[in-house]
Amino acid sequence: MADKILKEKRRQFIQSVGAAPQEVKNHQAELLSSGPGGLKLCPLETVRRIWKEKSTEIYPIMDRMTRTRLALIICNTEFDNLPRRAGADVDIRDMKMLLESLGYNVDVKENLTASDMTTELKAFAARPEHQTSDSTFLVFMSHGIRDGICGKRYSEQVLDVLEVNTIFQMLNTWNCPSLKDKPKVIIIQACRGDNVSWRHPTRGSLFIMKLIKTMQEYAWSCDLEEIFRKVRFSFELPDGRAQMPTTERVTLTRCFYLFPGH
Amino acid sequence: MADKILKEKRRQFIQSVGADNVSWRHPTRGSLFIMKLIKTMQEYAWSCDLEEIFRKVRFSFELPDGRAQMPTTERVTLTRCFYLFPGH
Repeated sequence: MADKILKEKRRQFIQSVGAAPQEVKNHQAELLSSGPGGLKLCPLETVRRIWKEKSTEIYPIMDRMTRTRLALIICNTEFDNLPRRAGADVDIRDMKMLLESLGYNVDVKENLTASDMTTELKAFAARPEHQTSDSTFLVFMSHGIRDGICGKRYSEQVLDVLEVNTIFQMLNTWNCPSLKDKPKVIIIQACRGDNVSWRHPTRGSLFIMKLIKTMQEYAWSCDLEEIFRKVRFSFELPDGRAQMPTTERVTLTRCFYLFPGH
Repeated sequence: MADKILKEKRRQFIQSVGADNVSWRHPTRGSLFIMKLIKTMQEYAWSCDLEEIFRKVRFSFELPDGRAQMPTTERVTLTRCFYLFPGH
């Protein structure tokens, strides 16, 4: 029954996506060079200006030639008792491309239980490369409930759930000293109980699509918190598929500029 | 009897302060967080939006000097910049 409702919602969503207008190319964008996958790169003058204006209040980045940045994507597509997340493969492919173009070596893990996810997190936190890295990104994509992210075995009888709090703990200074004072960004694509998250079967999740697009457009000139605000701003007008991403638990003390291309 | 239990709990709390996330308060000057929040707002509300102000408050706690604490911004759904425009 729930499956029928889901199928109907999906059908309506696909219908509405077909009516979406074509994007008009912004000619001003041609002034900035593009990195791989459409990421706008940061011109040297902009790097200098940002450093000059905010010097002590931005996170330092390490030299491109010697740093060893890592990122982790954990994505659950196939579940024992929940609907298959069609379109998740697009999310993985696009997020991997974005993170690589931002200078991170990306590890992808799929179809894990909460226990497997904890094991992967611990292993990731222990990676020696973080010592010669200036930051990290972690992306979790799955079904979700209010309290956390679903593992592949989730059902009403088997509460296979990874609590978001656990993710924060595994990466804190106690459990991951190599990333002390370095920005650790956790991105979660999942429903939170009644607050649902929309996904297209061939174009991927709406949140991930908008996040990538906003990053590509603004990472050259805006810090991460500004970029995330712009993503939320892009969801202001619901057009039938209402959702609002939330920024949780910010302890960044400085502005995190990605300086794409540097 | 209840007073004794309270005293014991308080003693244990003070002991464990190093391990837990605590918030410091001065008996005549008030809470450290509130003091810094107000000072930062007074200094920057004219030129920075609220999220920037909050970040500057966190920044002011970067160097612990014995009384370590870090305020956290939780659950932001603001879609725009909130400028207070003090005086307007």
